[in-house]
Amino acid sequence: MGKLTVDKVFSALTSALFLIAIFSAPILTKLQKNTTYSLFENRNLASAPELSIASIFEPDFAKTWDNYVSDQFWERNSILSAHASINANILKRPVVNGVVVNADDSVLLPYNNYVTNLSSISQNAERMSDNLSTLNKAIQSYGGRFIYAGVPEQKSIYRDLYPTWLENWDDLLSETEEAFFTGLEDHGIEYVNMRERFLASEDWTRFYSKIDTHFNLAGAIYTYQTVMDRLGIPSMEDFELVELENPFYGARNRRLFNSAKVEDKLTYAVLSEPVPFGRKNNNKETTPSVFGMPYSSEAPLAYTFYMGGDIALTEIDTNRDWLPNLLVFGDSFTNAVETIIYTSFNRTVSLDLRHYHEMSLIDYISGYKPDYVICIRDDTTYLSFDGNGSDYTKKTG
Amino acid sequence: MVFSNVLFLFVFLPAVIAAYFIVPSKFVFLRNLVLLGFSLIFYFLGGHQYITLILASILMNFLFGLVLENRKNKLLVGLFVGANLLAIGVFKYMGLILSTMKAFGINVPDVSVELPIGISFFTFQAISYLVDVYRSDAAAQKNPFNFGLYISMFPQLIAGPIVRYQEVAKEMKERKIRIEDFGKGVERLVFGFAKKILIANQMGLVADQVFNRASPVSASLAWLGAIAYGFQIYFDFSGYSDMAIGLGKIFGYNFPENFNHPYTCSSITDFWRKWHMTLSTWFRDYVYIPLGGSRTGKARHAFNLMAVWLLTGLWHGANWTFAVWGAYFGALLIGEKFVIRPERLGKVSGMAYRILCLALIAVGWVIFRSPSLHSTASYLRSMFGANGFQSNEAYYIFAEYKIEWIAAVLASTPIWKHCENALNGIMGRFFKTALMSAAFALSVIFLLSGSFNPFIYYQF
Repeated sequence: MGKLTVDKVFSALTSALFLIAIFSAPILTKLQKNTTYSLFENRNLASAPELSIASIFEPDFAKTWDNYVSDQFWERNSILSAHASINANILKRPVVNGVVVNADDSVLLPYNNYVTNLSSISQNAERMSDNLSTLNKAIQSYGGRFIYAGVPEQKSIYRDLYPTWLENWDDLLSETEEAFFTGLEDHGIEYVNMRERFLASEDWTRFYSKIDTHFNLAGAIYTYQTVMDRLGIPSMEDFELVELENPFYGARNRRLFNSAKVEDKLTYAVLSEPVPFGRKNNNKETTPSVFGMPYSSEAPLAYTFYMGGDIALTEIDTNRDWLPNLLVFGDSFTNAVETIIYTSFNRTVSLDLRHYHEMSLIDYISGYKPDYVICIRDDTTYLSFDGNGSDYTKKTG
Repeated sequence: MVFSNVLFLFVFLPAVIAAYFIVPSKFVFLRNLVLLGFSLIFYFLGGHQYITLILASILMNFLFGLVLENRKNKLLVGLFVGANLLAIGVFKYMGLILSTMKAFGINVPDVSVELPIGISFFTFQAISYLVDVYRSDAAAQKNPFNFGLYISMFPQLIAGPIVRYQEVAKEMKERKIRIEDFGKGVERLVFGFAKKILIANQMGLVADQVFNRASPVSASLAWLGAIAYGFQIYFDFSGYSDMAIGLGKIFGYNFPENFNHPYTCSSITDFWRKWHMTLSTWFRDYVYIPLGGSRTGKARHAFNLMAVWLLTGLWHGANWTFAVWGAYFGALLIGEKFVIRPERLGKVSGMAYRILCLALIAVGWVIFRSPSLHSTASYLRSMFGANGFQSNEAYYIFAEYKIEWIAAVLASTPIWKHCENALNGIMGRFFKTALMSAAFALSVIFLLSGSFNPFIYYQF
């Protein structure tokens, strides 16, 4: 054996550390139980691919296994959380995982691309109002009433909090809003612009989540009350908002693996006089509840707490046939509104055309003939022709 | 499969290390067989449809080598090299040839050929082997398995360095792996990995954000994008080379260096002495010198330079932008040889010329990165102010990646080498080990967190 030198000792140490790392990680990964879903990323994690002679010859064989090992890597959540924390707190990046973190301590906002296209706004606004006009006429044809509730997305209402050198899409959002509502007016479509209403109210920040794309329950209830007021329908006033202790994984802090300092909690409404109801999801009877109450105060909650998230077809029956029937459609902003709006109606049907593909919206409405139809969409999707903005005479999907 | 993916690092590498070191060191051939087996698995995992191509290349060139050793015939070596060039021509340049013929109105069928990974590298190794055997610079390898290992050795199979047969011939027969070599290999592997993950990938995000923009780009943003791409390609490729050299050392092989801080160059000529050195020397030895090199008249010398650089450009990709890129550097090198003569510049003018060279290199990267000559021209116009100078996005990019910009600038200089020399005592080595551990941990964290992980030279 040769002489023990500093070089030899440290080479052995370096080699040992490296070998321990590369050999122990796969063993620890194998010993750890596979996880199927990542709450932080809101996606299913890769499961173990099939290993067979045929699969070896698949073009994506190595990639599939790489995805699997990466997704199921030992302590992956802690590693991803460390990544977000290092970027936000040590490297002080202004934007981490697409979230603006070091600009304002009070709210988490998304990074907006610098490239915006304003040239097609008026053309798209015209097309969208034509589309909505067709729907409006179909509803009016049997004596129903349609109203569009336009709500600001969180990044839109907080747009002034962006640092000047980051893109807040003010031009895009303002021009879109103006062209869109002008189009609705020109076509005689009723609407409420909730951005104006929120901003006109005192301390509007109480209506919006600090860590999620949506308004909070208070914002949803204010939207509900504004729409009811406009339709001349009495709204539920007698309730109390209760805050949950549970950690809330909003769309923004979730991307940071909860490493951000900004926190927010979810609330639910307790009615002084509860309105009994039955509920069906996609034509199947389900638990008659509108809040997904957690089993413990530590269990993390997401915005799916309201109505169980985005569901293709939800029906709520309060069996009070002296009240009007409602159909509400739109993206996830409808969810929190639905937790209270059913109290004002006999029957409430909610459609999410991103997931509902059985028939066209107009066909559904022609069969159901609700007294009121409400569309709730946010201002980043006013001119989006996908899902809830698609041609209402056709099925989606 | 590439070195910087989880499957390689935590499944393939432990498996190959375990299998290799289970075999006692005295059974060198058996160890070679282990490496050959894993190299072929590595290639298979990167694109199983071309495993037969590399096997055919191994078998064909092995036989060619044996023939050439016995019959040193110019025509034969020409034929054998031609067979290799035909393979690379079909698999790499068929699309370019057909699309060019179409552009000239010639009716040709649509043929889509997928580029087999690493073909440019293993074909060039095979050509150098044949020429060296023909020139009697190397003896032909008599064992087909050892020859297979030379062509397909996974550390340098898909992105170099381009290894000459003589450089590893002795190690194929006998090699001793000391713990110091293994440790140095690990260090090199880890630092290469860190360069790739922590700098190249981040700079790649910047470059993609700027180059992929559909709308006009301000001058400040365009320059940041070009510089970021320059850093991306350097740390990507040199990081890969470091990993290849490190892996080689772990298995007892000493591969040639491929980079020597090219951005500290004093001229364009100096840059190409320091960048992808194994490719430059390959072209020097197998194209430039056989053409007559510099020992000819000025016109012929200029022609030789331009020919080599057009070929170098096309080696990098089957697109005319690469030929233009090669011609651009060919022209700059001819200019330096016959007009500027950087070695005669004074201190101040020499410093100014260094800065000019870096700017010219950045312009070169724009040609290299752009998908077409039209987008090259559009990007270059932006760099020179066609769309204004200032933009908020440039500020954001600078603020977002400030650490990477600093790291990229520092790591482009030989500062680490100076530090390394000072880190030889116990405390120094302790610090170095700690730094290496931190770099590895950080790289794994970033690797697992990021989906952005392409190796640029993988595509050549």
